[in-house]
Amino acid sequence: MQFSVSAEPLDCATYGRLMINAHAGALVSFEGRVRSINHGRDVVGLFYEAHERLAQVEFSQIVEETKNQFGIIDMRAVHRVGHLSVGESGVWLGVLAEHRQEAFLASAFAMRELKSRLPIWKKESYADGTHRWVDEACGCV
Amino acid sequence: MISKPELFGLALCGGKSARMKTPKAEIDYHGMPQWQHALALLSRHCAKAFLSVSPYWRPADMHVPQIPDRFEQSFGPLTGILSAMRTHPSVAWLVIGVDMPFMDDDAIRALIHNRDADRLVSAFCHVDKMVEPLCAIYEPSVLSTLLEFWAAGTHCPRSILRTIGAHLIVAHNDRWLQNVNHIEEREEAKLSCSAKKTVQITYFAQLREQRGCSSEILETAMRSLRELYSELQTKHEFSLKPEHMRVAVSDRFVDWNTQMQSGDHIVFVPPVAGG
Repeated sequence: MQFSVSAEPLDCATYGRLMINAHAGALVSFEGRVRSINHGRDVVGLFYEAHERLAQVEFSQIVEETKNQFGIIDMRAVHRVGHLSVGESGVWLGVLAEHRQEAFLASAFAMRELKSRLPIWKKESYADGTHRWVDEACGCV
Repeated sequence: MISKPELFGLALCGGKSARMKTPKAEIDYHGMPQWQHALALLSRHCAKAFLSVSPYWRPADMHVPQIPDRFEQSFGPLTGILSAMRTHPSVAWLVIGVDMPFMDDDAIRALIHNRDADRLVSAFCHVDKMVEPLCAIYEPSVLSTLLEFWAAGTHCPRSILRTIGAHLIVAHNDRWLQNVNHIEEREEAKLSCSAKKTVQITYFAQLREQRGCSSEILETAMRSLRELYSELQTKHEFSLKPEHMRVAVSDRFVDWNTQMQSGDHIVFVPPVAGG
């Protein structure tokens, strides 16, 4: 499966090793982590929920678009769900390509698409005890 | 900027219904007599809503807001429109025929949204530009013109609107303006309107919190996903508007105007924030 969600902490060190292709000269991977400050507010943790099947369908679509645009070989991602603390990994993305240039460009493109399109929702918890569902589209990342 | 005149709604119910045998206003397409459905529809979008009634038909309950024909002679729908305009001359009238069972909230919203209050009348038209005078907004300024036509013996609202040049709004859903005049058409429309579908809805994020559960199976007479969301939004006070969301059926993103089928698994998708 190109995309999956995990309720357990991500095992980012192993995902890249599972992407094997003799034509691939480059693997670019990205790991997104929970940071302590977002838009000037002290974040103490967050909660992710996902619609896994719909996310898989949409991810496949993004993979197709990324392949068409950058000619990459393969792309996979794992997204965490549930409660996360600061410093934990929320997402892992790996892009396999012949050369590094297209792998770098494709991973930046794919992350942008993934953030704005996958049916995954994020609720941030702040140091002042409040919570908020984040809306990527309105810029309150 | 001068504000637009206030909008009142008028459902024309006073027709003879000669070909239908039973009064068109009493036909049940949506689990209630059509006059009641039309009145409720108009009430959701207009400051006040009335039935236009005539000696041919009036509701049994005299407390239902209604405007009787105020002319000695009746010349069809124009009589009802003029009677309403004379009763409340300072407001604009959103007029719908009671024989259009597919008229819905989306249609009324589209009409109001595209209204040009500087014109005498804003009316829906068919794709071929044929004007539909019985789904239109009549501004207060048109009253004197209508009375002139009336006095000159022209009683056909369609030819009047053609002559005065109404502001035309193309109905992008051709069912909205479909009227039902015959018994066969009526039976087909009844089936199509009353067909209840059983759908499953899964809620995520703020919708799940506001609904208080993550999934439900419900029976709905609504047709499009937009109508269903609108119904649920009112019922459960959802804060999100459809324009800020996407919607998926059976694991595929689809258009909000998609018609539902029984067995659909529907997901309303609040603003996402992965990564």
